[in-house]
Amino acid sequence: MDFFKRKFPILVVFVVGLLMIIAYYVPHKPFNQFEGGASMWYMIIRSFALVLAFTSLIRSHYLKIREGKLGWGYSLVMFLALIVTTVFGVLPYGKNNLFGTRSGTIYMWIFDYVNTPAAATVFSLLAFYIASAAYRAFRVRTIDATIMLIIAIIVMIGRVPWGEMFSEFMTSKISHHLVFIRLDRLTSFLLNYPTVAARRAVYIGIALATVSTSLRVILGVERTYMGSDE
Amino acid sequence: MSHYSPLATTIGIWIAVGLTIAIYSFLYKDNPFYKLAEHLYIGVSTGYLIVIAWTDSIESLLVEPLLHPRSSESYLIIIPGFLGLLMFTRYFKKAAWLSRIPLAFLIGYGAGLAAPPTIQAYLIRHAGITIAPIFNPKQFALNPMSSLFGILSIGFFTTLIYFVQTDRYTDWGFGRRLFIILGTVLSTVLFFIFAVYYPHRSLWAFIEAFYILLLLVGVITVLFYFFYSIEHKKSLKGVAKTGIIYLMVYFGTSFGYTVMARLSLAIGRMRFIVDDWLKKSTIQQWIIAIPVIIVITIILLWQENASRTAQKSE
Amino acid sequence: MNIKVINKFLSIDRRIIYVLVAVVILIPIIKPLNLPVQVTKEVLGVYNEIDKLPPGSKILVAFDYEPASTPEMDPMAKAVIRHCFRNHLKVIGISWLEQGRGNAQNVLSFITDEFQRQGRPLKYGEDYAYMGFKAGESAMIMALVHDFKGACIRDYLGNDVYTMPILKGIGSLGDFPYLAVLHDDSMINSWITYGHEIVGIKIGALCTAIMAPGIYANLSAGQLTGIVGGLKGGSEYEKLLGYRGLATNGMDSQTLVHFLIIIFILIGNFAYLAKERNLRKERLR
Repeated sequence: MDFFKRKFPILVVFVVGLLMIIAYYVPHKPFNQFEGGASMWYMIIRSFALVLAFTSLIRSHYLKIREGKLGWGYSLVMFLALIVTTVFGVLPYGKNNLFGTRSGTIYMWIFDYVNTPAAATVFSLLAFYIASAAYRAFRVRTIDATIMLIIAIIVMIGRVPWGEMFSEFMTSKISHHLVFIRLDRLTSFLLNYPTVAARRAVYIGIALATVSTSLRVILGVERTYMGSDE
Repeated sequence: MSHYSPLATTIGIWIAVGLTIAIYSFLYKDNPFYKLAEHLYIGVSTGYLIVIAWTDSIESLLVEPLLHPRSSESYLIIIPGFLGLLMFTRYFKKAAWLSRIPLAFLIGYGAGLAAPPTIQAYLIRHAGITIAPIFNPKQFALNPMSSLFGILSIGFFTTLIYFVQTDRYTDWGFGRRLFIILGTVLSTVLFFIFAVYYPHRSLWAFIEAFYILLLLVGVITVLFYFFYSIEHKKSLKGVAKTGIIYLMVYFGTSFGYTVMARLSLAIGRMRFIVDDWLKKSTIQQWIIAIPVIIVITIILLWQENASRTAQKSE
Repeated sequence: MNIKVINKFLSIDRRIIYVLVAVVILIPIIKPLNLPVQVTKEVLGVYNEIDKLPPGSKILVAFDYEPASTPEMDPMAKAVIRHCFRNHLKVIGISWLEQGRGNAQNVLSFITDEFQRQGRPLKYGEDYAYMGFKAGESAMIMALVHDFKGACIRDYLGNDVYTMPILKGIGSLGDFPYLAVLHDDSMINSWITYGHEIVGIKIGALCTAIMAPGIYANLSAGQLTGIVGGLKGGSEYEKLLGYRGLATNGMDSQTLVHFLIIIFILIGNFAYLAKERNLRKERLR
């Protein structure tokens, strides 16, 4: 039993991982068939993993309601919203056009008028926080911070219509030789060269880290996915 | 949104605006309206995701092929379905170990899938595109003079780095220092002239060659900055510092674009409030909405007061 | 400058800043500025690739953005779908993000209703189709590479994909001439790694502004044909299609708020530097 509890999962990781690596380099039977089949299996198991994630959330709020903890009323609202949305979505689409997940149903109405506005508004709060942080926290304490600030200002001006209009004015009305310091072209230069260089280095680093972590997992060196028993 | 009746659309817009204003009220301070909107959003989005996970994944990939199999091989789908159900054993202490098996499959598949394509797409591709232009004769022409000055420039540069790193640079006199630095600069400039400008006779070719070297220097210095096996001191500190400058440029452009992104969302919400609600709302809608808002406010404030009293009594 | 005045400047209530931002956003919404937009080569990279596809070609569009990004992504999503239908291309949608499904339904139904009103009704299953959400992320892409129909099985309405006319001749992801990815997170990397690098499909990235700077490296490496980034990218695409939509109108507010934030940064730093100067003088005394 100890073999199935501890060793078998590690063996599964090794075999599946190794076969997937071989399948990439040997795209012929039976490896390509394995790759296609394993991908379908992954998709199905992953769907159950999604449902598992939801059950954890539901469980924590259910405990809050049952124990009458502070703010249990809000958890009840969350539960009711969840049940209503799920019921209307899961019921089959019928002649009344109310149930199901097609456009025009109650489920999509909830998505359009509750989910989407709330989600967009929550993330748009950050716009105000950025403005506040720009005023109160963005300080040129070091040369690095100054460089970052200057670049950010160039990009913020160069990517808006006024910045483009001002750049056009600089070259057409003042002097054509100013073309090299046009803010829109400067922004384009910054995005296509220094940013690309830094990002390429980051990608190379990520690739190396991904490969080393994958090999560690496949070879059984990394076993944190096994949980606390290991 | 045109698939709904006018009444459903009107009610929907009022609810959406109510949620928007309730969430924006958090900018003033945390309050019951914000908490209500937040919990409503969590509930709705979770319910939405549960339905999608069922209809688009489990039902279409597992249930449908079992009920309407295309061939006898379709029944093999029952194995991943069973493995997926095993994931729920983690809620039962004695059987929790069974959930490791499907998890092991997911982990093994993910690890094996990630490694080789990532090497191709991110290591080979990006390293190659950085280095390849240097060896492209259309960018840097290979002739006796460019080869000579190229070798001289690499020689001078490595000598300078070596002697600075080993502290021997401090023993040198002014003449020797001037010779090495001038040699590095002049040989690099002459290399550019003979490899780029002279063959193409164009300023643009010069600029393109400069950009290629800018990219190469950037990639190497940023990679070096993250390399902690060698201490970053003396000339190597300069290399790391150059990498930091490239990273600061990257962060600066990211910050500028992040500001743009978040503002777009705020602009969208404000436009919705003005164009879809304020401009289109009628007096009759306001007459119905105001009492509803008052009732919700009373319920929330009463609930908040009751919670605070219960908390104090504890 | 008096240190008390500087301190007052530095400790201004953040709610005043929020109100200023809200007011500056609202001004162009109430009174539009109609500022012109310039098209960049990155957006042209996507536009030209779609434009040169012959009529009847099938284009795969991945709707991988959340409802939170709708104000930024919807205008460019509508623009690209509009472009496809104007050029008589057949659009097949798919999502690997659960929340992308609702956005896909809304965008497709909005544009198809528009074409219906213009006297050119589009038929589901023949002119366009949406496969729905498919779990698995990278595994989903690998499954599409091996067998597109086998990975989808049913579309979002529950129809059998094997009998769909629009999917005739589509065996694998590589059978599509172009893939437009509408994304607000790093899923473009998976589409590039498992799509472009394995089957060579051409990809155009239509993303939020947060993602845009990071994928310029992929553009320069030839893994993408172009980038449509943020509201600015959406406004450029709208200009190429010849109309002023939500993205173009949104650039008015964007312009003003950008300058407001730059003013905030400059005032904050001037006050900070003045305070530092005063403190240094105090220490020297």
